[in-house]
Amino acid sequence: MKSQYTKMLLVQLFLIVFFLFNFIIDRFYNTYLYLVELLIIGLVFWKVVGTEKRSDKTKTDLLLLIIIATISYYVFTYFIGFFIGFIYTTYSRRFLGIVRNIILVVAFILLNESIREMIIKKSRYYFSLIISSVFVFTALELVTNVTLMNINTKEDVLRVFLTLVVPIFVKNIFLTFSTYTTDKFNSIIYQLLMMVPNYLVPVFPDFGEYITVTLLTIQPIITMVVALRILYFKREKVQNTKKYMVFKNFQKIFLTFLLLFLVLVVYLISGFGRHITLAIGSASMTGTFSKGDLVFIDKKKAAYEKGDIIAFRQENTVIVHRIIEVISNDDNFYYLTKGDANNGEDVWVLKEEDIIGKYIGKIKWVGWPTVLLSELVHG
Amino acid sequence: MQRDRKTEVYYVTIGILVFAVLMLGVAYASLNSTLKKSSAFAHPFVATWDVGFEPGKVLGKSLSYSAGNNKSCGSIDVTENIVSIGNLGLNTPGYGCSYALKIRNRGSVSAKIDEIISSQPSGKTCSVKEDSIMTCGNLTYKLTYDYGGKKLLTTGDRLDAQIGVLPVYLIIMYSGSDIENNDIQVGASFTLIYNQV
Repeated sequence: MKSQYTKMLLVQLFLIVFFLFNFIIDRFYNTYLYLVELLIIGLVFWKVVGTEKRSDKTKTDLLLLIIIATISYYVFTYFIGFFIGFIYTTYSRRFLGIVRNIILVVAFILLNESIREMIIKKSRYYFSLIISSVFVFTALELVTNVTLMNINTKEDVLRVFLTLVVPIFVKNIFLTFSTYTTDKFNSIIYQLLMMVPNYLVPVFPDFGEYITVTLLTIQPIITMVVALRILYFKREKVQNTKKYMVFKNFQKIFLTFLLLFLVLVVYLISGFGRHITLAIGSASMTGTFSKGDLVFIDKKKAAYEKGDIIAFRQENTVIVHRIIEVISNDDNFYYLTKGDANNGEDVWVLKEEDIIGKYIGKIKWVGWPTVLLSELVHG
Repeated sequence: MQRDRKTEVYYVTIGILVFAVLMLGVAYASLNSTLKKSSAFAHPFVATWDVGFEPGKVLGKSLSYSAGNNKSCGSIDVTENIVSIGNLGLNTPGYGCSYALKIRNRGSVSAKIDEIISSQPSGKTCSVKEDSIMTCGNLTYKLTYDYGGKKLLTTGDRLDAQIGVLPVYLIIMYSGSDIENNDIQVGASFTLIYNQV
């Protein structure tokens, strides 16, 4: 048993060295070369550690759940797309270009998932190896995006982390779970359903970066939560005691509220709806709200008056200050503003199109994590 | 998986969900002032896409062809897909302005120019020739690969994968035959749409 652990640990270490090798030689990076490398590794692993098949009811049920979850994802996102608009994909729209892209991505998925299955099946008794494999496969997939990693500033580091590392890491948690509980087949189907349509469909919903990354991140986690509840917990004998039933009902209510809370967080941060939240990064309005407070802005267009507190864009940043004068000129309105704690008025004259919305309330201190991260990134 | 282990995984997964949503919210809110919607952003896949102008990187602005006082090359704004001119004013044949820009392909797939969309300056009517030549009043705008203005950018031009950066030029010439009042133009622009080859 100990030798098996050591063997699988060495396999994972080898994959990390493989990742570092490809990462370092990214100047010569080539998709075809990478696939050939993966193929060689897959064949060596197959020879050394072998593979095994599994077929039971859980496998077909998980497959059904994956199909329902991915189709629901596309129906939901493309339905919302009809309201917010679509943008063209940058991938080829020529038949041969589409075929080339799909062949590449399918080859990558098949090799990746085969290697994952070999490692996970042989590490099944070592939970620490299962966990470390998530990091290893995240690293391997990051190699395929190495040319996107144009990192010059702290902001670039944060962007790469958010747009690449987080969604790939979370997806690999789900794929590891799927392969561990059944076999590679379901993981392959999931990857195909999530990736291939992006090369076939010429447009995708214009959610912007934040919503797109959030959707890509939560989709596999929610699928995994549902899989654990439906496929595994409900099948097992449960206690029918009153205490247990109270606990289960409490759990359902808690999860419902948690989900609603998360939807509200995404809604408020994205600014897609009528309201948006902003973290206050300066002390210019001390007395009304302080640095680190989270303020709520109503984006409904209104006739702004003297004394209103408004959020507006100026000098590539968002500022929340009070209107101290409204100037009317030929049906156009211009606004002078000032921070309550500042000595002088602001130097700019705002036009209506500069204004994002009107301040309606605050929560104290909740914005501190955002403020601290912003100061770390922007200096 | 044992039931205890499954329960652990279940609660840890819910924890990851909550943490991921809050962490993404906090992080993107901190980028709020610079957050842009970008058509270049796609899902993380095997092929990577990084094509466009180098935003904000204008190598130099120069008056060319002849000297004179009654001219202004205005300002230029360069984003990933759009190059636009602020306030421009010329009045003499032979006067012109030239902006040296950079166009890049750092992605792992080759790209081609799918469309060149020219937008006329406010209040002017323009005629467009060969995709990247636009004449508005007495001024002619050209997007070219050479400083001399001969090799035009056209639809179908290819940018090979990982080619790095290429110089391109936006040249504006006074095309009237006589000296007239300053032809002031605001907001002319070219938008380049790329596609995978």
